[in-house]
Amino acid sequence: MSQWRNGRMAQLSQMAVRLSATLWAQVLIAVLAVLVITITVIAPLPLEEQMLFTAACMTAALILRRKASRLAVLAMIVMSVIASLRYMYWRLTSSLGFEHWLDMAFGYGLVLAELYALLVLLLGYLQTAWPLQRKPYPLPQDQALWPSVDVYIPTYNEPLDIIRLTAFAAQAIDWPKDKLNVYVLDDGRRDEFREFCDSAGIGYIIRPDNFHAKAGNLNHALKITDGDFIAIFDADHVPTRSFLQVGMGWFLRDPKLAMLQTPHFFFSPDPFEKNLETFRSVPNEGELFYGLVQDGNDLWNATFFCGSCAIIKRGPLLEVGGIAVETVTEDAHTALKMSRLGYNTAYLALPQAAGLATESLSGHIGQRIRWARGMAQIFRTDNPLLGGGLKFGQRLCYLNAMLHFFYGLPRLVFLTAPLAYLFFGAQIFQASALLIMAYALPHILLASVTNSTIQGRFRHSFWNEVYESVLAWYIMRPVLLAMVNPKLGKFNVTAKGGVIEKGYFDWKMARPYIVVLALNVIGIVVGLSKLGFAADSDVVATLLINLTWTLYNIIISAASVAVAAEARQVRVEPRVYANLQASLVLSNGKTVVCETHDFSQRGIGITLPEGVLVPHGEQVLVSLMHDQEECAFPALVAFSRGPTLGLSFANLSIEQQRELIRMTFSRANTWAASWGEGVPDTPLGALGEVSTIGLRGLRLLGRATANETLIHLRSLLAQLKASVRST
Amino acid sequence: MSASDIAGLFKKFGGSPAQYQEITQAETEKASQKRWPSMFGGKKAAAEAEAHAEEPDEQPEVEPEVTPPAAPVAEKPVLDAPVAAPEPLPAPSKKPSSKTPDAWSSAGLQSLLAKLANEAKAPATPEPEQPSEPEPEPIAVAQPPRSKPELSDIKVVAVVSGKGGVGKSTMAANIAAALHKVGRPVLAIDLDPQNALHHHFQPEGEVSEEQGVVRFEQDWREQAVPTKDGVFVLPYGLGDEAQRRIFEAQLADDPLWLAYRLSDLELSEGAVVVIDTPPGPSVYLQQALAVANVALVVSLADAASYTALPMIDRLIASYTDERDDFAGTAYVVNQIDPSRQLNKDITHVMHGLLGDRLIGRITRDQSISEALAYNRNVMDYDPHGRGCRDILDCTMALVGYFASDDEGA
Repeated sequence: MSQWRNGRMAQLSQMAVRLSATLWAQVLIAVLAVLVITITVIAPLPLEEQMLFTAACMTAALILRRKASRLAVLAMIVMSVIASLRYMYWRLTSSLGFEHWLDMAFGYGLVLAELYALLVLLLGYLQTAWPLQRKPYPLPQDQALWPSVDVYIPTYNEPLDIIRLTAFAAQAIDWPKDKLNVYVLDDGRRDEFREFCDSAGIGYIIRPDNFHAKAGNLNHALKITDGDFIAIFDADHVPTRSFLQVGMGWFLRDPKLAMLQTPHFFFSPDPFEKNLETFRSVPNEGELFYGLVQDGNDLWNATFFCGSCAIIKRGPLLEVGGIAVETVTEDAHTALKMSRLGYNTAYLALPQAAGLATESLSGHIGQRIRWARGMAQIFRTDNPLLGGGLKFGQRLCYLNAMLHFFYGLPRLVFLTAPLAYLFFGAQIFQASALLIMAYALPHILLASVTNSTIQGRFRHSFWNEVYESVLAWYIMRPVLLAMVNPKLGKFNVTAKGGVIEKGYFDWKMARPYIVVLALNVIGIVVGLSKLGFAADSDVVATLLINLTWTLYNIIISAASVAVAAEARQVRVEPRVYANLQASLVLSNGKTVVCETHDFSQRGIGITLPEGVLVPHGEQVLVSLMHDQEECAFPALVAFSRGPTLGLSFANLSIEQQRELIRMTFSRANTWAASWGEGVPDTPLGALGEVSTIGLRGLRLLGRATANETLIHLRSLLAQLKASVRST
Repeated sequence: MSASDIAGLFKKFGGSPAQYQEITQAETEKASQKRWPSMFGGKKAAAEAEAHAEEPDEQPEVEPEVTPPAAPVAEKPVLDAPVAAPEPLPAPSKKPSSKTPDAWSSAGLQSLLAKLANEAKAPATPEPEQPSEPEPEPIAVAQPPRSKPELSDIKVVAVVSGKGGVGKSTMAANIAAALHKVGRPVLAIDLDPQNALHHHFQPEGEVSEEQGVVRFEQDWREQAVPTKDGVFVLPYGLGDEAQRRIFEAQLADDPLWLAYRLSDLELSEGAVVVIDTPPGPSVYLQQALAVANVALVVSLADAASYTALPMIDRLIASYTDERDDFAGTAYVVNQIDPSRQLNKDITHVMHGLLGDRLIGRITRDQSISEALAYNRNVMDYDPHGRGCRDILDCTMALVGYFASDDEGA
C-alpha cells in the first residue's frame, strides 16, 4: 500500500535501458527530427522576418515559462536550441568575413569561446531536461534482510571536535547496531583520536604512509573491514539518523546498483554567501549541481560520486580496484570506472547530512582548482567519449562535467571581448548591428529564460556569471596545464580557515577581477568619448551594443571584487540556526520554557520569553526536547543581553555529547526541510541583485584603496619625519 | 505514531513514515531498563506476556520471569530479546485499567534501593522511600440502595495517588485552574481530610474555617468558595474528629452520596469537577471513583511511587469496573528531574507501558511550590516556567480524554 510510488520510479529508472531496446525506432524519429531542425536552423530569413521569428519565440517562451510543466520546459528547450543553432549557423556563415588580421584574431577567439558556450549549453540541456526525481525506496520490514554497513570517516588534519560530532552522529544512524560499524580513518595518526575512538566504541584505523591521500586512506580501510556497504562521510559532514534507511532501499531493489549519492548540504555560509551576505537568500554555487545536475544525471544513469555523503557497494568497488588513485578527483573517476563495468549509480536529492562550507575565498578557490584539475586529468587519461562500457547518455553527462571546468578561458574572453572594438576598433562581427541583434538576442534571451525556468530554484540568473568569473582566472591555468600533461597543474592555495578576526580585503585574490574591472571601466570611457564623435548611425549602434556589453561586464567583475572582501568571522564553531523547543532550570530551582535560536557542539543560543532575564555567569541546566524525549545538559550563561542568551556547555560526558548530537544534528529533516524551497528566480530581480552587489564591490574596492593609500602615506610621512630627524 | 522529524522528512517526498524503524530510540529504551535490571527486568517480560495474552489461542500465560534481586547486577542485559519500540498502545479506550494490575511488578525494590544507596551521594534524594504498602483490604462495595443519578453533562476527574507526598493536591489545584483557563467552568472539591486544596487558591472575600464538605448536611451552594482563579472550591473543612467519623460513616453507608450531591448542584453543561482524594484506599476515594469519568493518578518518577502504582490501579479497577461512563485512568509523573537518570528511565518505562495514558510529565520546578506559598496557581505565578507549560500540556491531554469519552458514548 505504502510503496513509495515505486511503479513510476521503476519506469523512470528503466528509461535509460529502454532507450537502447527500442533504438532503431528511435533512430528513425531522430533522423526526422534532425532534418526538421536543420531546415529550421539554416533557413535564411530577411531581417524583418528574422525579427518576427525572434518576437514569436520570445512570446512563446514567456507564455510557456508560466506553465513550467515538464513538457513546457522541453518545448522551451527546443526553441532555445533552434535559436542558438540559428545564431551559430549565421555567425559561422555570415559574420566571419574578416579583412584585417586584428579582426581575425579577436573574431575567431570570440567564436571559439562562443562555440564552447554553445556546446556546454546543449549538453546542459541534455543533462537537466528531465531530472529523475528519484524517491527513497522502502526497505523490507525484516531487519534481518538489511545489509551490514561500514561508515568511514577519513580525516587528515581536522580537529577532534569535528570528528567527534560526525562520529557520534554516525553511531546514531538508525540501523541495527550489529550491522553498523563506524570507523575513523586517521591519516594524521593522532593519539587523542585513538583515545576518543576507544572510549566511544568507534573503530580507529591508521596506516603507515599517506600515499594517495584520501583515496589511499579509504582503500586501506577497505582491506580491514568487511561490511557489505561503505558509507563515506568527510570529517565535517554530519549524517542524520535516517541516512541509511532512506538511502539503502534502492540497493536492495537493484542488485546492479553500486553507488548512491546524496547532496552535500552546508549549514555554514560559503565565502560567497558570507562576503555577499546572501546566505539562504540566493542559491549557492553547489545547489545547482546537487539540486538539478545530479538529478538530471540520474536519468542517464550517470550520477557522479562526490566523495562524501554516499553509499558504495563493496563488491563493485573492489572490482574497480577500490577508490581511483590516478586523478585528484578520485570520487568522480571511481563512479566512472564502475559505470564502465555496467554497474548502476543513483542520486537521491534529499539532504541527509550537513557539513561546513569552505570558510575563505582562497580555500574555496583551492578546492575548485582541485576539481577542475582532476576533471581535466580524467578527460585526458580516461576520456568518457572513449573506452568501453558506457552508454551514450553517460558519455555525454561525464563529458559535460569535464567540459564545464574549461570555462576559465572562454569566460575571460567574454569579459573582455567588447574591448577589442572599443580599444582597437577590431570588427569581431562582420555584420550590421541590426542583424547581430536579430540573431544574437533570441539566442541569448531564450537561453536565459529557459535556464532560469529549469534552474530557478537552484541557481538565479546572472549568478552563474559571478561564480564563474570569480574562479575563471584561477582554474584556467591548471586546467590548460593538465590538458597538456595530466601531471602538471598543481597549485597550492593556502586555506586560511577558522576565525577571520578582522574583515579584510583579499587583494591577492582580487587582482584578476580588479584588472578586468579596470579594463572595462576604461572601455566605457573610451566608448563614450567615441560616441561623441560618431556620425554614422551604424557606428553608433555598434558602439551602443559594445557599451552595453561592457557595462554588463563591469557589473559582473565588480560583483566578483565584492567577494574578495572577506567578512569578519568570529566563531570558530559555526552554529546551526534552528528554533528547537528547550527549557532551562535556573540555579534557584525555577524553570523557563524557551526556544533555541542556534546550536553548536559547544553551546546553545536561547531566546527567552518576554520579561524573563537570566544573568551572565549563571549555572543552568538546559533541556532540549524532541517529541517525548528530553535531554538535559549543564551549561553556563556566557552571554546575556535582553531575551538573548548564549550558553556554553560545561564538560559534557561522552554520553551527554552523544545525546546532544542525537537531539540536534541527527534530526532527520533539519536539512531536508529547506531543500529546494528557496525563492524562485526572476531574471530581472536577479539582475538587480547582482548590480547591487556590483555597486557594493566598487564601494568596497574604493574604501580598501583609500585605506591602503592612507597607510602608505602615513608610512611615507613617518619615513620622511625620521629622515628629517636623523639629519 | 512516528517521530516528528521522520514524519516531516517523509512528507517531503511523499513516503509513509510507518516504514521507518526507530532503532537508536529502541536501544535507548532498552538501555533505560538495563540500567535498573532488578526493577524492570520482570516488568517488560510481564508487559510482553500480557501483550501475547491478548491474542487468542496463545500459550497459557507465562509467569513473568523476575531476576533474583540479590545479585548487584550492573549493566548486564537481562533480556536478550530485542525490545522493540514500546507496543503502540491503543488510544484511551474503555476501562483500560482492568488489564494493568498485572503489568506492574514490585519485584526487586529492595535491591534497587540498595543500588540507589550505593550510587547516590548525590544531594536532594527523593523524599524518604517507604517500603511498599501492604495490599489493600478489598473494600466491600455495598449494593447501591438507589440508582445513580444522571451526570452526563459534566466531567468528573478524581485525582488519586498510591502514596502521599507526590504533590497530588498541588496537581489537583493547578489542573483545576488550568481547566478554567482553557474555558471550562470548574469546581474543585477537597475530599482529603488534610484540607489543603483551598490553600492553592485565593478566595474572593472571607471564608470561614468551618466551611467544607465535612459538614455534609450543609448545602454545597453555600459552601463553595469562589476564588480569584475563577475556580469554585469546596474545602474539606475544619471539623473535629467526631465530625470526621460521622462523615466517613455516612460516606461508607451511601456510596452514591457524592453523585447525588453533584447532581443536586445542577452544574452547567461542560463543567468539570476536580476531586482531590487522600492517598491510598479510603471511603473518599471510593466516593470519587464512583462518579469519576477519569481517574488521574499522580506519581513520582521514583522507585517507591512506581511500585505503588499497581495497588492504585487495582483500586481504581475495582471501583470503576462496571461503569460505562468511565473513560479510563490517566497518569501524571510529577517532579521529574531531567538530569537524573533514574527519573528519566522510569518515565521512559512508564511511557512504554502506558503509552498515551501517560498524559503528563511535570518537571520539577521551584515555582510550583512557591506558587502555593502565595496562594496562587503556577500559571499565574510563573507563566514562563516549565511547571506552567507542563500543567497546561497535561490539561489539554485531559480535555482530549473527555472528548474520547464522549465519542465512545
